[in-house]
Amino acid sequence: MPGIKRIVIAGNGLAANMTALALQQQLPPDITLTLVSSAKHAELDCLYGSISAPHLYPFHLTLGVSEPDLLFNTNSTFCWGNYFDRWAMTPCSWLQGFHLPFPAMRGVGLHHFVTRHGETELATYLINAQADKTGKFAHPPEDNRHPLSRAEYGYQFDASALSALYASKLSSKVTVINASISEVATDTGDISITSLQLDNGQRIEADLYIDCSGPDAKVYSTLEQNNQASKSQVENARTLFAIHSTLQRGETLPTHRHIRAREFGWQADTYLRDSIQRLTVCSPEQKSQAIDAHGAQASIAMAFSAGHRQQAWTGNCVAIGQAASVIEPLTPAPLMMLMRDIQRLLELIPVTNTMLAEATEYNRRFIADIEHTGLFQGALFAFEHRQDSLPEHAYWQQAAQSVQSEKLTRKLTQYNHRGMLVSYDLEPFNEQDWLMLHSGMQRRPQTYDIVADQVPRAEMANQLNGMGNVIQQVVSQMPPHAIYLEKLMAYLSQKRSQ
Amino acid sequence: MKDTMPNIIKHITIVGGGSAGWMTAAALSRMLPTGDVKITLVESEQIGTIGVGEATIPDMINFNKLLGISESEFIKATNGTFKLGIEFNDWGKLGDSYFHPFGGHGVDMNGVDFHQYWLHTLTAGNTCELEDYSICAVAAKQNKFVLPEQNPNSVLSHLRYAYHFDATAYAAYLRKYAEQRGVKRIEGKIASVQQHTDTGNIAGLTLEDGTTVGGELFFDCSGFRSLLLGDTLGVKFRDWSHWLPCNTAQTVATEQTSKVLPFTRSTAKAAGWQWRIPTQQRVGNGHIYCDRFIDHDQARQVLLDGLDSKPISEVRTIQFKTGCQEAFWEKNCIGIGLSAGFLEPLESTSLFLIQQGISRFISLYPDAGLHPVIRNEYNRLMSREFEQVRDFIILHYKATTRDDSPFWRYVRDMDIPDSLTHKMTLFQQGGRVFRDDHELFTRSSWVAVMVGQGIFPNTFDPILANIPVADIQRSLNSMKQAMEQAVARLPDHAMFIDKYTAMQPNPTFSMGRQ
Repeated sequence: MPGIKRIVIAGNGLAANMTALALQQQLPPDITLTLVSSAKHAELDCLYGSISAPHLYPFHLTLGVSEPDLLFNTNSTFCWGNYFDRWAMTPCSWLQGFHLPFPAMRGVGLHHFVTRHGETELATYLINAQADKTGKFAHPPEDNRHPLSRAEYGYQFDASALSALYASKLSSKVTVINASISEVATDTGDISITSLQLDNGQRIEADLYIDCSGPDAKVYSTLEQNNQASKSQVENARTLFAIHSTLQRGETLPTHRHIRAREFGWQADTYLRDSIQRLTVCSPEQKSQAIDAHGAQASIAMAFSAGHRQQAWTGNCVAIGQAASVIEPLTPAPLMMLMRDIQRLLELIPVTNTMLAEATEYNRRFIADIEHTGLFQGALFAFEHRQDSLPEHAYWQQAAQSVQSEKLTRKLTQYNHRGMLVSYDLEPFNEQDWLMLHSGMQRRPQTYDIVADQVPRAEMANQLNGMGNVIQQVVSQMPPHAIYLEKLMAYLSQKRSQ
Repeated sequence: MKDTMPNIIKHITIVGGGSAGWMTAAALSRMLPTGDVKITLVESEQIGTIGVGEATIPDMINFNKLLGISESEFIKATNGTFKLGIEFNDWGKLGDSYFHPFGGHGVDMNGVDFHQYWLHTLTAGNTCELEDYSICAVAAKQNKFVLPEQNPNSVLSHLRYAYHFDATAYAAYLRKYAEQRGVKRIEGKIASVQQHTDTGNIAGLTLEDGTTVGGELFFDCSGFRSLLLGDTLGVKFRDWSHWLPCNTAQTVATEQTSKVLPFTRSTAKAAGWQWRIPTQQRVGNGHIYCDRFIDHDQARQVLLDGLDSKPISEVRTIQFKTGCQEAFWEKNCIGIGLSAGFLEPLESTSLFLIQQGISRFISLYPDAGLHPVIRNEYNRLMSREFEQVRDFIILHYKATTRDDSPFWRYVRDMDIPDSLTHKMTLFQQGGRVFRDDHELFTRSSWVAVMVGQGIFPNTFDPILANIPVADIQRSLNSMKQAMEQAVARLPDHAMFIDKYTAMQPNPTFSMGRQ
């Protein structure tokens, strides 16, 4: 088998451990894996957010991490999505949940019928939104006739616990060296990296270098510095300020991460089994107000720069996670992007030493993923359809400026006009995500798909009512999240001890 | 609740019959609320139609479903047969033959594409072709056919199919369908087109006998002439003939042979290629070529030499230019069919592009204001559709080592769109397939053509090096065996058609008013 034989991963924390574990599980044994892990604490890991989309479940299976593994070894809980609470200080509050494709009649999607029915909200017909109102949770059953089978769930997690879980799963296939990189050696012209000099005196050579060392990207950036052609500077960076702390949890265990809008930015509470994690993101100008309003002793308070490199694969080096892009942790986007980085890499493990075809394809998809993630996060600041404008404060005004994009305008215009969903190539957020966002932000299409008229109004009203009723019935029988989790853990421990 | 569509379109006029015109009329008459919208179609019996696209791709099934047409009735009325894919001969090099099946190859395992497993086994001596693991290809080679099974555990659930049929008979069938649903047909040739002086919108048509026909929205289904979109509104044509140089087709029908093949055959010739499309009673043949590389008489001889049965019609010649309009919807006029653009029927996409033009329009159905937002989105989607089909067709010409004629040397060496170069390089190195989720042609289709035409990956996905090749070979053998066993029990294609058309159509999908 031609191609590369030695891979080095540099960095510690979530991205490094997740990448090392993924490569360990998927690559053939004749490729050697080395993880150079510096002692520096990966405090920026809180910027991966604390909520995952449903994709984490199947991704975990490929890593050899089962759901019981996750529940026993971390303080993770379930969630139906993010709850946006009076977002942008407007009356818009909604669950930004996870859902399988919405039901359709005659090939026309639910939202067109909801518009035709003269209703304003999709949430009445979404079981996750209804269950979330009262904090109910149960695993969606496989049987697709059951209304709950349409819902999907993610996790609320603590990035450092998740990172430790991945580290514990690393086997002897990965050689871990605890040292810092003191020098990155390159060939003439800085086309590729030749070796890494470590502070313990070791020198490491590899065919492929993977930089998971965070925004500074110590290894990857060496190839950029003297390489005008790659022009891979961090683009459109926006400076923000983050405050993070751990609080005591009360009795209830909400089934969402709760996001409150503030003048200075936003505050998110993540409900874990043993605690609440609070993250505030604001503009640096207003950090003192934000720290006052944070309401707890901050374990981390720091400025960060949200943006991305123009490309993430140069020569024989790939930047993964925050080394390639830092995404504001407002939605599950940062973790989605990290998983996509790893998947993209796995699909494109080089088979030649020039790696040019792989790098080109990797960068093409990287830029598309960055752009499409940006569309969804940007849409949260688009209030073209409402009277209320965004708060005057710096955070909101800057956010609104950073979302000017032709692709987003097209999406919003087509939706406003007739509920049309414009989609681009392999977007990380699906149609349901977009529909919940539009509905939550009270965006109302002027009209609907004309094919909906093929269903008589009475039949449509009947169907819609029926759906709403069945959902209420099912939700009333679901257990509260905390009780479900407690019973599930008891059951799993019993099964384990057998 | 208040009416959400206060300002509806009241009159739609379609210019031209043929496949495009009658497919449009039939779909609109089915989807628009009866009585609210008047639909008129103007056509002249003196103007011939071009029976392009007698072969289709599986999406055609959805179009008939949308219209509520029973499949058996359709097959009967159009002399239809079933199609499991296309056999390509002499494309990659002289003497080559491969099958581009509908549906996929084998089964993807553990998130890795099937073709990667197959590539892996080749290194250990597997001599089976990729198509030996396609249920459609296996059935096609034995001249068998059956409709797909519903049970997902059956290998026959992976079967995908389309049709071959007589496009003129289909147009006639749809005419009856549309007229029953209130579409008014006007016979006559168009003498002039009137435009609103202020907006430039089309105001109406005057026929040679002096009749005038109005309308708020016009469909241009006038064929290559592009009477409204091109002539009247002056929309410019995007010429793609530097990538797809063929510009002439000569067609002829021949007698049916002893076997009704369940696939289209495409054979590369010195300056183009020749198709063979079997319908129930006859076989359609056509030679598509570039007249810069062969003269018309020679081309005619190539066509006749390539027939496998006796001609039963005159040879017809059609000239065309490959490309599409810069706008498919301009002002109050939408081009459907040849007036919108032309791509040679190498992958049987002509009727598909018509169908997309119609269904995109229906999903964007405007009110009488004809908001530019809608037009803009329609044009974006249709351009993407044409460009993606274009790239896939170019692949067939570019991926060749043929050196036996100036035509093949030209296409082999020509510059191609960057996106296509990138796709080919990526596949060459490690068998990776460029992903694009809106693409009509699936990963399997790209792989079938690239492998079939000799773009052979240097190596397989390194992730598979983990798995012992003997285990993979065992899985592949059992897949192949299951397919062969299933196919052995299938009926012969012609027998299946006889039985199917003798059945009573399903009453819920019957013709006539419901």
